[in-house]
Amino acid sequence: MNSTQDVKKPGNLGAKDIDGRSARPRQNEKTTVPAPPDPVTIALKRIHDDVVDEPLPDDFLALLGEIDAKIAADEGRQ
Amino acid sequence: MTLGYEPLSDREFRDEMVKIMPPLRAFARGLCGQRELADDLAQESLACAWAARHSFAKGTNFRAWMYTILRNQFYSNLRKNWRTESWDPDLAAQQLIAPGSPLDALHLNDVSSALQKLPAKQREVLMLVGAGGMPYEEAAEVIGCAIGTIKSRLARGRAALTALIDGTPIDEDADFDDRNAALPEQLQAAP
Repeated sequence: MNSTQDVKKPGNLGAKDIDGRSARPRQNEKTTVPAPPDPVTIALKRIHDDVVDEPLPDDFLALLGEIDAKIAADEGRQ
Repeated sequence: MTLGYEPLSDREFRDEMVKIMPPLRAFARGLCGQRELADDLAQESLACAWAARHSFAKGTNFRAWMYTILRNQFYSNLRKNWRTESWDPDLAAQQLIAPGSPLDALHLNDVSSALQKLPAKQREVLMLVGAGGMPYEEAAEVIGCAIGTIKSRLARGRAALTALIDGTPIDEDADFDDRNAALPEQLQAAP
């Protein structure tokens, strides 16, 4: 007698699908479900995104203006 | 003299700067706590980066390079006892736009306020990874530490922030003693 035939593993007791495997999830199988972000992380992201969505302050635009002027001047020289 | 690497053209560099400005401001805001200070820091860093633009190698990580400059600038200013402003709740209430219920706004203010009470080394990781979604590897590159250090600071930072918001005691005396004073090991990675 083949002793392995009588061994029934937990989770293998259900109906079988067309591949001959159990159609039910194995009881000892771990399913990985991504954890939802915690409230602190959600708040941090909103704080971050609020700043990202703000229009750039004038000082930053002025800095870019200076850089653009320098690039234009350099390109004009070449 | 040849550089041994290819730098970005001035125009390419300028375009990278434009892209990085909004998240860089957000990172600075998380570090400084106040809009004006944070924008000063971000501008200072952008000007510094522009001046050092020829030292940036094309094809390497511009974001990490830029964040490292800002971070170095932040700690350098701290060392010089630059204005380390305390949290201003009135100002914060004006600045934080929180669509939704008043409870949301209150919560955001609580989180912002609590964030500024954390040690800078936890705050920066929370802003980079937690808020900005930066991968661990990149955050480790910016800070100049091991990935494991990033993970542990993130976990401790989250726990401390939650505890501060909830008003529960924090079991991390050592980390709170060196608030803002702990200068990280590697400040020389970028100009």
